Amino acid sequence: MRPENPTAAIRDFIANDLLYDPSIEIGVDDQLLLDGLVDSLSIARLVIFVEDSWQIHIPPGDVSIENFGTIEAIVGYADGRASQQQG
Amino acid sequence: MAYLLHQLIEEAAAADPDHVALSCRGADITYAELFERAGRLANVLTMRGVKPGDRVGIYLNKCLETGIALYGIMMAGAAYVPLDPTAPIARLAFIVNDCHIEHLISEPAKRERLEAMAREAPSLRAVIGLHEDIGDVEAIDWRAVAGASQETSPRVTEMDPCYILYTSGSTGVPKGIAHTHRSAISWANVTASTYRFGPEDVLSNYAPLQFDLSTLDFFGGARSGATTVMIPEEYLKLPTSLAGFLEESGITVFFTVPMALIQLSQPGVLDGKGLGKLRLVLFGGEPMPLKHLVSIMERVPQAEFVNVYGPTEVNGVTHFPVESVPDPNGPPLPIGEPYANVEALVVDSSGNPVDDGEMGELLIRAPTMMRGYWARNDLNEEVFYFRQRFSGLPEVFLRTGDLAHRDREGVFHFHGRKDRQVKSRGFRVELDEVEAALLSHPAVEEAATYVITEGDGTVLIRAAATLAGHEVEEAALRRHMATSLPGYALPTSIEIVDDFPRTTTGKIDRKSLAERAGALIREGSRA
Repeated sequence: MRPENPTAAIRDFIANDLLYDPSIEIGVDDQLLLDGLVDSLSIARLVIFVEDSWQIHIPPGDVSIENFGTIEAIVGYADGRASQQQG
Repeated sequence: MAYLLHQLIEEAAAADPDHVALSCRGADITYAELFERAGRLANVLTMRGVKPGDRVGIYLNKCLETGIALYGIMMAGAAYVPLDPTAPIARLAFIVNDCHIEHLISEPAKRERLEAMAREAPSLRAVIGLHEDIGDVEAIDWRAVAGASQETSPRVTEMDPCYILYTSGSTGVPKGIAHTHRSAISWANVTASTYRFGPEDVLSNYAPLQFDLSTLDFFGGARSGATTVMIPEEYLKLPTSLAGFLEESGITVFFTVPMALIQLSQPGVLDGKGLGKLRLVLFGGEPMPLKHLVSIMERVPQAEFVNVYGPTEVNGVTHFPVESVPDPNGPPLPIGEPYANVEALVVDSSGNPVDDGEMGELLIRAPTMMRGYWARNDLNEEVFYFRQRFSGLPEVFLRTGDLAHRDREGVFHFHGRKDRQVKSRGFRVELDEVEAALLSHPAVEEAATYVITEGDGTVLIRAAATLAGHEVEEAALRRHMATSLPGYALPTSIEIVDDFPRTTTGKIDRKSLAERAGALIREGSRA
């Protein structure tokens, strides 16, 4: 199931579960991977979170900068993947 | 023949001025341009009073200016000190203060963090790469550098420091590993000759500047007049993108950590990627799980794979070329044989050499050895081992702290650490430093850190704490630790416990904590 507010859901997951800092500000187009906001270990947790939230399967080959570089990109990718899997 | 590190680009520029030296995010710089721009930076630094022996910081994400900074700082006679862009400000300020950095090379995107750093680091006088001053800290624009003269007259010897790499320290603060022009150029020479680097090679730069892997990429490349392509930070986290990058950049030599190879070997990651140009894959930093090595070797059959061993204090000292695809269930890869000019010795706890086949601490004598830890005579007194063989100067070895044995064929095998240093995802971490960071939270009474190894060989750092009265959440402890530790050193979990398992003398039994956690994980994976 797609989260009701997907952008906020991903933002909250990164802030609370990956960075343990609910007050941190992350914009939808902030580069998640450049400055250590999300590291290689937490990217795996983020992928699982997106898989569970959208109920999709994400092949390792799809975990790319284009699809996971920003919150906006993640939502776009997950939505696309969900409609692909339904169709 | 170059004997100072920055002379490598002078020689490469003389041999082939238009050859691309460095490439980053689609931008290139030739050896002639690199030599010229580094010279101008050196002139600016010299005019501002930077003298041979001084330290200059580099606080940049990967970009061409990183390369200009490296060589410009050394051409001014100073040593470069990389500052990790992802590290907490308090840690960076500690480093700036510890080696008294007055000049930094940085970029406008880091302005806010530079402001915070300047408040904690009073020695800071100027930042190159900024447009506007930060209080008393002067900003020097790259345009001003471009207008400077190219003249430099460094009075540097090969025994002067050329860079200081800070690493985790067991006393709770980072320690600086100071290398000399001699040790660094020896490493460039041994790798260039052993692996036959040439101008046609394209070396990747995987590791950020604060990790010693980067020195092979930059200086081994420059030694051979090759091109070094810096892999932008975001590609390091996503194997699929990394695979595409290696292909598009035509990388021929890839020096990395086992974690990157494990990720690249995941199903689908290399599908459709043509890595036919890759001729050499060097990996080191921690043991490589064979299952994943087999899988990546099968995917990149033309490339030679080599296990490289050596703590940052000595650069690389032994290597093991993997001649055929190993049995995934076979014994771990050896760390191999010493490079030419390296003497490796295994000693027992009293410092006496042991027989082949017996395990002991590995000692290394090599021209690639550091000068010492920066301003830490206490550590330097412990880390060097002196052997008096003949009258005259003693032979100096480094105590690696690694346990190893030498087999009858002269091949060395690694058996872990003597102390509490661990490698987690390629990062070197002192568990005692992590523990000290947790203990510094006022609510924590006692703390313990330990590691667990997951099924795929991934080493994870964990912590447990008892509290001094009032409640505190795990997240608060983690935030506190993140103010002094880099992200890779943070525990993956912090368990709040009523008490610890104890040894008979009442000390925290960290071994038992690790065993208990390991057993729970194995149970979980069976369920």
